[in-house]
Amino acid sequence: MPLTFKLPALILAALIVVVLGEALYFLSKDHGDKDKMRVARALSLRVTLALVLFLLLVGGALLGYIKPHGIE
Amino acid sequence: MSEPSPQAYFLPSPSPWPVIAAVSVFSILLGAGMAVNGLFPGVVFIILGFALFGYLLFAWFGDVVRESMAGLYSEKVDTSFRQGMVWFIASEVLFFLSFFGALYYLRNVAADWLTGKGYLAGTHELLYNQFFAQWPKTGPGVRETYTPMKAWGVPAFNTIVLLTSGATVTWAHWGLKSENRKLLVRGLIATIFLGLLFVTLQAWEYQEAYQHLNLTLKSGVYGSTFYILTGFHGMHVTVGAIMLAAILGRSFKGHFTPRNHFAFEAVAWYWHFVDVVWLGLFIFVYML
Repeated sequence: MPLTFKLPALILAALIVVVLGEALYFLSKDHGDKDKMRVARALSLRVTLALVLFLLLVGGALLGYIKPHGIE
Repeated sequence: MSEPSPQAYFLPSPSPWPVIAAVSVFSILLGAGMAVNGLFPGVVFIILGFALFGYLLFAWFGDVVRESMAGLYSEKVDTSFRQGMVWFIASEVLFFLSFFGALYYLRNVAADWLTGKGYLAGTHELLYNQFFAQWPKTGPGVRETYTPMKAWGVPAFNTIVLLTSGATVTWAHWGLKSENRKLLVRGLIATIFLGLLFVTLQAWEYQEAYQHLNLTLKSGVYGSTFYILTGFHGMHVTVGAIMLAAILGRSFKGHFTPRNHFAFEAVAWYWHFVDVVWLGLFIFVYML
C-alpha cells in the first residue's frame, strides 16, 4: 500500500477518534445548555470524516492500492 | 415540582433491578453454554434470560425516567450521570481494544514466531516447520479449510448502513437542539430502522459463512477473531437500537428539551462510538 494513500487514511482514522473523544469530553462538561452545540457539532464532524474515510477506502480498492484479503 | 438545590443529591430507594440483571445475564450465558454443547434446555434458558432482560430494561428505564421527570435529579446528579457515561465508555474502549489487540498480536507477533522469526523461532523448527505466515490463517494444527469473508458485498453495504445511521442520528440531534420534534422523531426512527437492518444483514452473513464458506467458530484464529469482534459489535448495535427505541418513546412524550436531554446525547454518542468501532472492524477484519 503506497504511503500517499496510507497516510491520509491514517490521519483521517486518528481524526475520527480524536473528534469522538472531544465530543465525549463536551458531553461530560456541557450541562444541556441550549446555546452549547459543541457535542452536536463534533458528532456532525465525526460523521463527515467517517464518510470521507470510507470513500477513500473504496477509491483505494478501486485503484488497486488495497487488496482486501477476501477477494480471490 | 420545585427544582432541587444544585447541591442536593437524590438517593434512590433500594432497587431489585441489579439482582434481576445478574440473574437474567446468568441465564443467557448458562443457556448459551449449554446450547453450544448441544444440551436441549440451553435454548429455554436463553429465551427466559432475554425475556427477563427485556422486562428489566423496560422497568429500570421506567424508574429512572419517572425520577427524572419528577425533578429529583439535581445538577450534582447530572454531573454524576455524565461521569458515569465517561467511565462506561472507557470500559467499552478497553473491551474492544483488547480484541483488536488480540488480532494484531496474532497477525504481527505470533505468526512471525511460528514462521521462524524472533526469539521463539525454535517453535517453527521443532513443532510447525510447515507453517508459513499469511492472513487469513487458521493457525497451525487446524486442518479444516474455509473461505474468508469478503469485504465487498454485505460488509461494505453494512458500512454504508451504519454511516447513514450516524447521519440520521445527527439529524435527530440537530432537530432536538432546534426544538423541531418532528425532525427528532423521524431521525430516531430512521436510525433504529438502519440499526435493525444492520443486525439482520449481519445474521444473514453469519448464516452464509456457516452454510457456504465453512467459516465457523472452529476455523482457527481467523474464525475466532472474526466472530468475537463482529459478534460483540453486533450485540452493541442491538443494545444501542434498544436504547434508541427508549429514547424515541421519550421523544414522542416530549420529555426532552433543548436544555435537558442528557439521555438523548449519551445514547447518540454511544451510537457514534459503535459506528466508529465498525469502521475499525471493516478495515482490520474484512479489508486488510
